[in-house]
Amino acid sequence: MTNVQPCLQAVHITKVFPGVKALTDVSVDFYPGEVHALMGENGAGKSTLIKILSGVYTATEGEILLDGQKTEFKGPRDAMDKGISVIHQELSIAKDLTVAENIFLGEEKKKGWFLDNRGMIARAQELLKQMKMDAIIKPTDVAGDLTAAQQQMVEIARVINKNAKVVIMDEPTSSLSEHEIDALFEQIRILRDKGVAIAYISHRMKEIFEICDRATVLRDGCFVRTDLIKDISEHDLVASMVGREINDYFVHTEHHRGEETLRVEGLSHGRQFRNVSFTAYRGEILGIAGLVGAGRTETMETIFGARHADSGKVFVNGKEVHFKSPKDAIAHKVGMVTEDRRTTGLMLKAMIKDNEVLPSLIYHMKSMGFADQKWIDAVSKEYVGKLRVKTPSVETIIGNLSGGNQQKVVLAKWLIAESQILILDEPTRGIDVNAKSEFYTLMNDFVDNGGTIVMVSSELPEVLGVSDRIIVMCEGRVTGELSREEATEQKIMYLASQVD
Amino acid sequence: MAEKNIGTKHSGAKEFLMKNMVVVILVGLILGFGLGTGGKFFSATNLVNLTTQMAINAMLSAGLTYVIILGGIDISVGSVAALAGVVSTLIAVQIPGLSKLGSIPILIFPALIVGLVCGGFNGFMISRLNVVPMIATLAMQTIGRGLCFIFSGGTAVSGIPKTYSFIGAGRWLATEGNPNGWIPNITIFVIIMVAIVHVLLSKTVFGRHVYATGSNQQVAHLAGVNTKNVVFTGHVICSIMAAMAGVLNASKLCSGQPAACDGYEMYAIAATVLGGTSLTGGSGSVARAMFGVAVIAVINNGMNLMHINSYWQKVVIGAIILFAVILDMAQKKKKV
Amino acid sequence: MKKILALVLVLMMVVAMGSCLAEAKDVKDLKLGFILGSREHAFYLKIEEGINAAAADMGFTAVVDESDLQGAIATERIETMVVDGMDAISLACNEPAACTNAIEAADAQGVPMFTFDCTSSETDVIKCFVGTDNYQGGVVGGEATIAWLDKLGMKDGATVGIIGYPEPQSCIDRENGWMEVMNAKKDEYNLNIVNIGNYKGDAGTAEGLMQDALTSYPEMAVIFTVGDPACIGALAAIKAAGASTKMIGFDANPEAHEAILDPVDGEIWVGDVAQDPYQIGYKIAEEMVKYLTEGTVDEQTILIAPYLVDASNAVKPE
Repeated sequence: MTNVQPCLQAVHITKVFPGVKALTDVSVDFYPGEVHALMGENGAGKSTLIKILSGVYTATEGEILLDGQKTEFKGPRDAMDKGISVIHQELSIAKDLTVAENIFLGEEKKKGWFLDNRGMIARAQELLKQMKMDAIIKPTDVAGDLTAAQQQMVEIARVINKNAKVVIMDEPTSSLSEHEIDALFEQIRILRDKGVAIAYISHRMKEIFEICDRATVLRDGCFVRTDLIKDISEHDLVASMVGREINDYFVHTEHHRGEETLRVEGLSHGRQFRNVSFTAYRGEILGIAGLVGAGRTETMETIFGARHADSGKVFVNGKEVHFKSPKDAIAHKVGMVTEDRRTTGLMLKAMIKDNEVLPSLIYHMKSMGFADQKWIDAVSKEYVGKLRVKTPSVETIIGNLSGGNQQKVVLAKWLIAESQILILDEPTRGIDVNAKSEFYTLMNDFVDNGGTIVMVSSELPEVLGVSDRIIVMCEGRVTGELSREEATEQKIMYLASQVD
Repeated sequence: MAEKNIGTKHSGAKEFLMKNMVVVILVGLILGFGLGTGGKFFSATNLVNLTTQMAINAMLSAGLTYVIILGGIDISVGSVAALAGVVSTLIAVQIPGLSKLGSIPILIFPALIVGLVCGGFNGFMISRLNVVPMIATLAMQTIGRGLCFIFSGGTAVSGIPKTYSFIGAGRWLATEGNPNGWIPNITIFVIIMVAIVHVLLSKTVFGRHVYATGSNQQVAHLAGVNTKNVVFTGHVICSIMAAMAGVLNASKLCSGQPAACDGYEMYAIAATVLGGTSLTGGSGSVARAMFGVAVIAVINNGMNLMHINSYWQKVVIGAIILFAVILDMAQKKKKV
Repeated sequence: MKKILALVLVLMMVVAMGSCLAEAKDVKDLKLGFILGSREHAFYLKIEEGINAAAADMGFTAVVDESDLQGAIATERIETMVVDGMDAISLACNEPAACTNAIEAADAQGVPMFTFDCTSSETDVIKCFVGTDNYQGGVVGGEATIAWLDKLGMKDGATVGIIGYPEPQSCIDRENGWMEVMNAKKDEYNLNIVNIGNYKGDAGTAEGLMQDALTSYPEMAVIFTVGDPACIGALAAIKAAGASTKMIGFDANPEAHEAILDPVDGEIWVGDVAQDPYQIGYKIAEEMVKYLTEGTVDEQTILIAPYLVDASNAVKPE
């Protein structure tokens, strides 16, 4: 450990949300002139920690020290004024304003009553020059016309202008290309050399070893280790991120793999995903593992017809299909349980039964286009029973059910639509352990009855526990395929961080 | 960094045209009507008339620019204008010996009060209670119009001292050929007011925060901008300008018409959008909105001079509005 | 419980039937419905005054509502009033086609229907119409226009104009009446007749129209407008242009009287065609009562003649 006084310290921080303990007794020190990686799986508590450090949340227990002094942030603005700046994963740039206007947003220079535009432009030019960006970005450029990487540079200029002590960067490279990352790292080094402390959140091993000086690993909301990067190997780092026994609530039964049902060949779309190929079979659960942002959701939505590919082919039951919209996919007995149940999976304000029958309505019409109410009532009750949805009636408003029960209704929706191929995107996100277990049983039943499941999941234990076969994606590409037998968390994490 | 997006940067002639379409249209219309009316359009009298015909819409559009840049809309401006006109004339009626200069506070103070109250109502509903702007201002539109008829007793306010129309109808610089004068007071007044709100929007911190809030409220909030106050103030400015327009209209006509300015909000919205203010917020300018105001005034004036049937005038104005919105959409698409 | 409810219902029906059968045609018990065009017009407010005065004089109950000048709303109002048990209903039939069904349905249900201000030629069940002869009003305005040309000595080649509002039927009639006189005198006076435009009921719009008309025809001698707000706007334009145009309006609202008597404005605003809305309101109420008590009306169509207001008979509003 250095003798330098840390400029920002999180001391024994615990954060409890209703029903969830997001952080338990976590302590991290950030030193000036050091890039400090915060690592951990999705859900390990990194975001919560960042939000506490930047004044968005207040810790339930523990304290924050700024230059050794105990401090409390009244809000993000207060934290900012005290020298903590955050560069968010989504850019915080007002696209209609110019570069200079963005840099000074919230702290405009004034000359009397009026804006000192000339002064701000000159200062912005100076900042960009310091960053060696002045040849590419002009202070008077409209921010919306810049590339994502250039917009990020504007954010960094803003941070420099504020003389921030600590800069938190939340996955800053997620939307950048290789060169752009190099340019970003150059800026990070400039900042670091000026004595700024940088908290760097990323999943990409290569980046961590390239830019960071120190790394702290969190797991399940708990502190695992802090080490200097030079003292630790990639393997150790991955091991401490996952190091956990697969819990026994994953119900896995032997499935009998049948003929091919879904085949994807060379599917590509811009930078979201490239040349994705895989095959899924009747009677199996195919897991798609990877980190958030690996292009898995985009790939699945493309297969389902909700997006369009630049190139590539999709085959269902051996025949090539061209889904123009999800309607075509549904007609081919393909169903998709989307990632965000509350916005894209359910009509929250509608009754259970209306949610259940939505995709199937047009196939059960009476003459003149009238809905077949008798059928709706019968089938919705039948599936609520079959899937053991806990509800007083099928007329209950679905928004009032628990997450697990809501998810069962989403599944019922596709079972009623007689789907044979089900794409599940993060199917158990935000539901409790028992409900998860029940949901896995339903998945097994579906597969045992000859269905095919393609399951996208960012939770490694889930992928390992449920899948018959696992495909790993990273940066929009398939980086490997593992059988159930050979798959381990380490192997998956390794493949998932294979940035080329 | 190497892959800089060149396409958007090197604006060709086409982009210049797109951005300055309103100027192109204006010049085209002026030339067209100049020819079509055999030069009558360019007569000095007509050009002066045009400035007075633009006056009311200029005030409405200048204020509306704030609200539209904020990403909102205000359809109550016509009613607010009428209300201010009625209130101001009701006061003027009580002062038989009103002097010319004395008429100025009789215009300005009622306008400020009506503008503050109505704009405050809109701003409060929208910024604090999160009512959709269209609905909040629809309520204000109906309430304002109702109050006009209640205050005026359903009939036009009359018996107003002639001096009341000093600002609205008075002119300077009388000559032999034009004993009434060449320079309308209303034009001077409007130029001053529009210049003030233009500078407020383009040169002050508050103005900058209007753009930032309209561009991305979340970003502005994170940068420490009090976005609720910005939205509130924007609506107050819009209503004050509308109320000022209303008293000018009353002064021009020397009459407090409860039904005045009905439907003017549509012309103001059209002018603002024609001037390049984006309906989705974030960009625009008061000065450019004035070009939109000029386009609409020139169309009306030119068609009147050419004796084009009033039914056709409606069709043309409708088409222009549609064109403005399509232009707005096209610009938006380019950005994405 | 149910039995009691049934009993109450039966009783209510008996009472209701009884009241229907009873020949309660005493004026004091009459409930009459009136549907104005719009309470946003001074004209209709005057009609309402006439109706209320008649109700006070004769003792019937007047229920007054407005249709916002829309046939669809008028239909709703008629239906509501029928349900409300009006003995007779009268309305300003601004959009005849859109309320014909409601009028005939009300008549079929035994509620006699009357019209005032505007009537309908779409149905023949209307018992009586009281209104201004708008066409005749236009003629009065036209005659005044010619009289002013005579007074000004402009018997050859004068320019005359009209500011119209060719949307409501009443304004179209006024325009047509004026045009008839102009066309008749066109050759004799070698008239140049100009349609200045549609002012849409808005004074501000009228001002712009008049300004532009004066740009084209600075020598405009006399204009006629189909409504007083048009005169307010035109007055401002004529004054600003320093023109010597004379102007005759329509409606004779208080501001018209005031302007005609004003030493400055009166040089421009020289006359106004007056309707007698108070009289219309009073008269229609009288006819409705007469029909309900005596079974007849004076005449199927009663037109209150419009007349010219000028400096000789204008009254200063208090």
